[in-house]
Parts: sequence; C-alpha cells; structure tokens
Amino acid sequence: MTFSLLHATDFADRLLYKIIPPLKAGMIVLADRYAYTAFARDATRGVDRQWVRELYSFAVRPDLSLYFRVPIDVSVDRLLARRVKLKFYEAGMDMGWSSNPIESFRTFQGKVLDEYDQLVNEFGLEVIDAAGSITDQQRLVRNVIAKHIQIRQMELTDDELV
Amino acid sequence: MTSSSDAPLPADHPEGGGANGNGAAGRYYGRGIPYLPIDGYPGKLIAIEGTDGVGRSTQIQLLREWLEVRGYGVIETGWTRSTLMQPTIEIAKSSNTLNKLTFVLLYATDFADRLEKEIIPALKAGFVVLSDRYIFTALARAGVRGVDRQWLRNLYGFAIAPHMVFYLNVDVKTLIGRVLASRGMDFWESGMDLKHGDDIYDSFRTYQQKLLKEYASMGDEFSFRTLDARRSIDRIQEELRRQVSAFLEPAEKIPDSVSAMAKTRLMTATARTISPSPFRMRSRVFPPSICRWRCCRRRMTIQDGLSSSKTVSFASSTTTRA
Repeated sequence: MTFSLLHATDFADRLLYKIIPPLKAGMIVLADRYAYTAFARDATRGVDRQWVRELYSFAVRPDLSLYFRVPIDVSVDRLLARRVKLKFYEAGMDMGWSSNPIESFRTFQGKVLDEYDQLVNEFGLEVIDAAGSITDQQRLVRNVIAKHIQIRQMELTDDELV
Repeated sequence: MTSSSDAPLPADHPEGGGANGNGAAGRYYGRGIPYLPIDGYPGKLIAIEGTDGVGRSTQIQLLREWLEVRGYGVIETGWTRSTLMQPTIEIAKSSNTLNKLTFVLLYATDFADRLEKEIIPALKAGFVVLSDRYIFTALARAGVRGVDRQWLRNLYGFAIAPHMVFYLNVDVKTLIGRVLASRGMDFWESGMDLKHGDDIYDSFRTYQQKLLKEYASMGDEFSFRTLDARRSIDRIQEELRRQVSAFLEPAEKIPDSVSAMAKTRLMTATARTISPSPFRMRSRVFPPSICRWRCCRRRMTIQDGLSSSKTVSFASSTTTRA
C-alpha cells in the first residue's frame, strides 16, 4: 500500500508541475511510464485493481499510450547486459517469492506482463513489438504517432509576440 | 493474491466501494487491502477525532492509562507518526511545493504505513488501538481544500472502520482561546496555505470554522459519538470511560493465566483510578515520552504478578496519591 501511495504522490506532483502546465501551453508531453505502470505493478503486489484505478482517476488520460511489449527473456538479457545486479524492487524481491534475484525477477515481471496484457484491452494501449531493433521500433513508433498528430501544423503558432 | 476474498463492491456501485458509513466496525470500509485479511481479529480500534487543540491527546493519555490499569493492552497511533513518512511530510510541509493532491496522498501514505505496521498487527494481537485522529481528519482537511469527496472516500477504502469514533466537538471561539493560551496559531492549522489572507487570526477562524463544519457533516455518515469538548477534562474523560467500558466489558475476557493475586491487584488499582484522583499528577509519573512498548511491558508485569521495578513504581505512584 505504501509503495503504491508513494508512487501516486510522486505522480501527482509531476502531473501538476510537469505535465499539466505544458499541456495548457499546447505542448506535447512525452511520459516515460504513466499510471499504467502503477496499475500493473500494484496489482501484482496484491493491491486491489479497482482501488488503484480510482486512486489515479485524477490523472489526465493520455491522447496516445504506447506499450512496448517484450518477452521476459529478452528483458532479463538486456538488463543483465547493462548492469551486474537487478534492483531489489524491480525484481519484486519484496514479495519474498525467491531469494534468487533473477528467478524473482522472472516470476514478478512475468506477472507484471500479464497485467499489462489486460491493460492493453482495457485502456486501448498501442502495442509496439519491443523485441526488435531500435530502428525498427522507432519506425513503428513514428508511424503510430503520425496517425495522431500533424507535426507540420504544430510548428505554427497563432500567438503574437508581446 | 490476485483477487480479494472479501468480495469487493462492484465497480459500478454508487459509492464505489469507498469509505462510507456502510463499513461494519472492525472491517475495511471499502475495497480494503486484499493481501491483508482482517476478519475475526480480536483487537478493538477506537478513534478520537477533533480539530487542532481540542484536547485529544490529553484525553487519549488518560484513557490509555485507565485501560492499562484495567488490564488491556493499549497501543496508540497518531496522524503523521509513521516512521516511514514523518520526515518526508515535515520536509514537504516546510517547502512551498505541496499541492492539495500531494498533501492528501502523503497523509494517506502515512496512514497506510501505520495501518499495515501498527494498527493491523495490534488488532491481530488483541490490543485496544487508540487512534489520535483517524481518516476523518484527512477527509475534513481535504474537503475544505476542495478535493473531490468521492475520490477521497475511495482512496480511504483501505481503512478499517473503527469500533468507536469519538468526536470532540468545540466551537471556534472556545478553540481560539485554548490555542492562544497554549502554543499559539500555526501556519497549517490556520489554513494559511488556502490564502484566505495575511492575518493568521482571521485565517485560523475561517479555516477552523470550515473544518468544524466538515467534521459535523460526517457525523451521521460515520456514526460519530459526539462529545462536547468545552467541558472540563475530567467530565469528558468520565464520559469516554463510561462509553468505552460499556463497549469493551461485554467482550472482555480475563485470561486464565492471571493469578488470583494479580487479579486482586488489578481490581484495587482500578478502584483507585475511579476515585477522582488528579489525572495530571499521574500523567507526570508516566510522561508521554515513555514509549509505547514500555507501557505494554508495564501492563504485562502487573498481570503476571511479578514484582519488577516497573510494577513497584506503578503501585507506589497510585498508592501515594490515593
């Protein structure tokens, strides 16, 4: 519960200081993770799913949400290629499911991925196959984004200089 | 682990499964904490509510000692006292970056921490939990600040409905007198963040008036037992004890392990406390600085009839005042 609420507090702070003001100014806000991360993680930790959704009802609903889906093996390989150790919480070590961090990570993140799969339908997330190369992924992302925003129009502004 | 066994209310339920008067005492108000089932725990949760400076802590201290002398294990918990959150809340309050949402959420985190680490384990172990303020303070403060009421009730759906909620009711005029006579007006208690004006006195009056209205509006919803806090400390305490014992006694069971001798001592001690002895003097013998675990130990030594130094000092302090 405290894990969930602390993240919600952090989110509320960023929402009101970093997200809403630029949106009001007509800017594009790119959010690296959003409330969906909380929905997936908190549910995996045994917090009531509906409660978390109600908790985050103060959040702005994104115009577009991308979900980078990746098989658990790829994710473990990528993380271990970069660092020696998995982080305590990202491996879900607090759940006490396994004393082996990698095993715990697989179990925990496996459940998190299951939760994400449910969110895809519930919230209409756009799924990006994240197993591919960076270039491939970026092209996919650009295609999806292009459907939603007319980039050229954004460059003009009606506001007059003061 | 995946779904609650407590059968949460349907999502389209008008109340959304949040904290509201439908909560049965000792159970979660709303959706609860699925991984912490609490049904059938023997402890009792008693909340003492009331605005700043109304005399809650004095009453709780007296009630605690009285209960302990009668053999109950008592644990106190209070707003923002969680070890996880207290420093964070202090830092956040001292900066000017808190908004009404983060304010509410920090308090909720503090409450969640105390609920999981203090309140629920204590209820499981059969303690009487005295809560100095409960979620109603959060609901009132956030309500005054214009936070959506239904959202707040959903948020606190993980709270446990107390067995008893005492509300110490006071009028603003009396409150102002008391606060000024003791520690003075403080920035947050005066709602200065609401920017009613630069004058702390006016702000305090306006803010506290609104708070009192919020509390009053929750009275029926959450079955408050309202006490007139303008009366003397002793009168209020008497009323508290009367109602608490009427509630606890039918459920009371003195464990068989308690020896006859310890029982007699318990009863004598009880008899002495009932006499109108000076509360404040006893308070001085056991200042609030005594940590909660030491207080529990004190109780246990009495029950076991051991003559540890704690028991002796306790007994002598009561006898000298009798």
